[in-house]
Formats: sequence, C-alpha cells, structure tokens
Amino acid sequence: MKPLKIALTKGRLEKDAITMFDKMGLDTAALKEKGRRLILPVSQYEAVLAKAADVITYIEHGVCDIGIVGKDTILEYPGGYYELLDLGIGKCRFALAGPKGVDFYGGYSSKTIATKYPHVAERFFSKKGMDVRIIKIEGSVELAPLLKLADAIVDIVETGKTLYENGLEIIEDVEPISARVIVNMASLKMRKSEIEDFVARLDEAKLC
Amino acid sequence: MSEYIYKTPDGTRDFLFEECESHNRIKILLANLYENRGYHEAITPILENYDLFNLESASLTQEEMYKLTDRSGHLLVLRPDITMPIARLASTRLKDAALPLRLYYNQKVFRVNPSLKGKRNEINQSGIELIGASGVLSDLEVITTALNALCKCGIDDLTIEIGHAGIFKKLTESLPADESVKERIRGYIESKSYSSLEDELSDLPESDSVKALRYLPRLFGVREIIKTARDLCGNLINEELDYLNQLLDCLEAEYGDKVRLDLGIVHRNNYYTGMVFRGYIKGSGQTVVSGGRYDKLLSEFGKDWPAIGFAINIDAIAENQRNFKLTNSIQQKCFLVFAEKGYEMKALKYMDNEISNGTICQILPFDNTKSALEIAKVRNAYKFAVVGKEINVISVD
Repeated sequence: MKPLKIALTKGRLEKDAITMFDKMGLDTAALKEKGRRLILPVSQYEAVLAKAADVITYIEHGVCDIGIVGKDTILEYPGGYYELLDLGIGKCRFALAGPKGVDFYGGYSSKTIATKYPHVAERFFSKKGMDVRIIKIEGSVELAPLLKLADAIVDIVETGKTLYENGLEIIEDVEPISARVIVNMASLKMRKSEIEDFVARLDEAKLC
Repeated sequence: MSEYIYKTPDGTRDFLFEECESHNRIKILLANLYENRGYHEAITPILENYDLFNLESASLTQEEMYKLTDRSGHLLVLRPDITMPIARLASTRLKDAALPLRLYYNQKVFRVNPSLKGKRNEINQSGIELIGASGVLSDLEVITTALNALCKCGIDDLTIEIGHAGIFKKLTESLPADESVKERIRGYIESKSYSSLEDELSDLPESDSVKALRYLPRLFGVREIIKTARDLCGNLINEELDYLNQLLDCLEAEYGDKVRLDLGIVHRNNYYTGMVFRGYIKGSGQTVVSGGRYDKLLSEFGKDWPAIGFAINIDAIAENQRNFKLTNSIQQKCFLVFAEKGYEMKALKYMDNEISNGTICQILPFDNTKSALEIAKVRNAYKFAVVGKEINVISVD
C-alpha cells in the first residue's frame, strides 16, 4: 500500500502542523530538516509542501489524500473535496473595511470593492442583495481605497493594525477563518480507516 | 494567423492510439454487458433545447452548460447529462412501449468547468436507464450491473457506496428553514464539512432532525452505521434504513465489503428520490460511477413511471487502466505493400486478399522502393511486398 500523502500549506500552517505531528508522536525529523525538498517522509506518511491553492488542486485530483489549508483558500476555491476538521489554528477573519469615518452603505452610488478574494466578496454582497463592482488586486489591497480606486476592501484581517495605520477601519466582519483538514472524496472511501485514524489523532493533537 | 489553430478548446483533448483503443475496448465491453442484460442502445442529439435542462428536476446551473442558439434564436445546450434526454425520449417515442424499458448509452456529455483546473469539459459516459420498474429487484439489478461493469473492465479494487435520497428529504422536511438554508446544509453534508454544518445547524432550534443532520456526513462505512443512525434519528428515517439494510443483506453475500453505505450522499440532482449510489476505484481520485432511483423525473414529461439508472465515467476508467497496465498492442507488426508504376490496382487487390487472410496491411504511397524500405523499418513492418509484374515478398529485419 502506498503511504498516505498529506499536503501541507507552506509557511505558518506548516509550522503549526509540525507541532501537531510531534504531539501525535510522528517522526518529523525530515520535515524539520527539509532543505529544499518538497516531499518528505513523516513516519508511515508522506508530507507534501505546497502553496495554499495548490493544496486544494492536489487534493481535488486525488494525487494527495489529505490536505491542511486555510478556510480563506477553501472559500475562494470551492470544489469537490471533503472538509473534515477545523484545526482551530491560523485564526483570522475576512472583513469589509473602508476609509475611517465614511458611511459605506450611505448614498445611492454603486460601490467598488477591491479584493484578493473576488469569490468571497461576490458571495458576501450577493447575500446582501447588493450589486457591487469587484476589482481583483494582487497585493496590499489597502492601497485601493487610499488611491480612490475602490470604496472599500474585502480582505483577511488578523489584528487590524495594517488597516489602522492606513486610515482604514472595519465596517463589518465577513467570515471567520481557520485552518481545515480536507480530504479527497475517493481516498476517504477507499482508505477509510487509515484516514479516519489520522484525522482523529490530529483532532486530539489540536493546539487549542 | 490565429494562435488558436494549434490547440483544442479548454477542457477538451485529442485521443490517439492506445487511448482510443482503451476507450473503445471499454465501450465494447460495457455495451456487450448491457446488451446481454436486455438493454438497447439509445443515441440522443449532442444539442438539446436549453429548456430540457432548466426543468425543476435538473439542477445544473446555467454557467455549467455550453450554450448556443439555433437559427430562430432558441437557446440550445451541448447536453450536460444523458438522463434528461433519455427521459424525454422515453416519454415521447416510447410512450406506448411495454414496460419496463431498458436503454443504454455510450455518449459524450459537456460541462463547463472552471478553467486551468485540469478538469475535463468533454466527458465520455456510458450508462443504463431502467424505466418503468421499481422495487428491490430492479435496484439490485442496476447496482449489480454497475459492479459487474467495473469488474468487466478489469478493476477489482473498487467500492460502491449506497445511500438514500429520502433520508435528507425527510430530515429537512420539518426543518424551520427556507430553501437556501436547506441548500447550504445539503452542501455541507455533501462536502462533509463538519464544522460549517455545525455552525449552520446551531442557528436552528434543537430537534431530532437537527441532531441527525449533524451526524449525517459521518454516517458512512460498513453496516454498523445503520444501527448508529437508528439510535440517532429515532424513527424519522426507519423506512429508508430498513430498505438499505435489505439491499446490503443481498449485496454483501455476493460482493462482500465492496459494497458500503454512505447516508451522507446528497446529490445536487433533485431528480433522485430513492436509493442512490456512487463508485470509486483504486488509483482514481474521482467518482467513477454515479446513479440512483429517480421516480418523479418522468412525471415532468407526463409519465408516471419510476426509473433508475447510472453513468460510468469512461475517461476516468480508461486513464486508470493505462496507469496500471499498459495495453499491449499498438505496435502491431504490419505487412506493407508497395506498388510499382502501372500495377496500382493489382497491389490493392493483393492487399485485400492478404487482409481477408487476417493480416494487417498498409499501402506505401511512394514512387521508389528506397523510401518505401525506409518507412518499412520505422513502421516496424515484418514483411514488405513489391507488387509489379511479379510479386516479391521481402522480409524486413
């Protein structure tokens, strides 16, 4: 039997995942000394390091079985996979933010929203029944309202410090975010006991 | 010149050699299997009226369909599904036929998937529809046909999961929530998003249904889950559980643990009413078989006929098999025939004669023996005939 492949989102989630793997009693030595390798053995499993959106792609196609990825990415790239567990790490939220003191909902003009997450923004406003213009921005979304390209932004907020320093404030929370465990649909059915065992142990090793 | 002339449209591809061969082989195997079980082939148009897929039972979204218009401006689609066209066909051309109707198909369906995700927009499907029959026997017939179909393709590591569309319907019937909330709940159950489901349900007053819905996505696996479900759901879904238990009794005896349960199968397709099932095979990340009972669909066409069917994704199976054991035969050795000037018809007749003896032959369209000999080496020919006044057969080695 081939080892289960576990795709980890590189960066902070990867570090938290390693801490959890340690708590589960897995051998994470290779993962800690990874050098530039991208596929590493972790006890009887294989860890794969990838960018968040790619974790989803690998899981959807079934080339990896289990993935650890943020809810932000899941919301932006919905698809055919199971989302089995909320790990409670990497907590933050999507929020709508705009220039301080401006009434975003006031006036009759249609609003322009800048965001890195167009799907999330679109869903949020369509639930409100608001017709807005959405512009995709790749980085430092805070710039868009400052440069008057947009009325507000939808972005990930952790502490709100960046917003504050740029004269923006939160108008409304959109959705909470935390890291999730996703699983390929066929894998869960074909290798049920192995995957359930792994997910249950991961659940027990949760950091909070 | 357009850069597009060199590529196929998004989500489509060309097939060659062993790919065609494995597709065809699977199609023929399955057609034989269906025909031996009394099914007849139906071929429906690639183009259908958009209205057909806009019926309440169909639940594909507009964006998922390729749309075009006919001359009078009617909206058409490239068929995204075969069950709806078969239902149309059965209720019109076969409206007076003796029931049950047994139809099978081997056709392409078209879906617009998000681009650059590596998904196929053109999918080869093979499946059956058994129309005008209900009850355990016909459900078993269709499930075993699906199981045998996969086995016939040489797959032995497979899992078929059965569930029941009535479970979700019953559990949400009395829920004090509007359709959009129910649809979100359905989505969370389908994707087994335990935590999102929990959040959504926590807004509703606690009841037996809510309690059961919360556990529904976890209820998959072997027979024990029926007991768990009974403990959780009170008497709400006893009828469905009894029925699944009965199916499992029959199937387990023959197929062992290849048949499992998933009470959390909640198809987006509104047309399913009873038992539903899905199949998975080792080495493929996708669902390769999907089917179930749709007793209300035909009533949209004015026929009160129960029906059940399934579709197999031929592409997934062909690809999977190529990964495991390469089919062996495209490099077949062939016999090449070269014609000297003035002896063209003689060469063609000679080739026909060889073919009727069971040899694979190819004509070499060259005007000199030297380039003919060169190509003979490339093509892996074992014999090479020069047809002139006389016929010289040369071995190539």
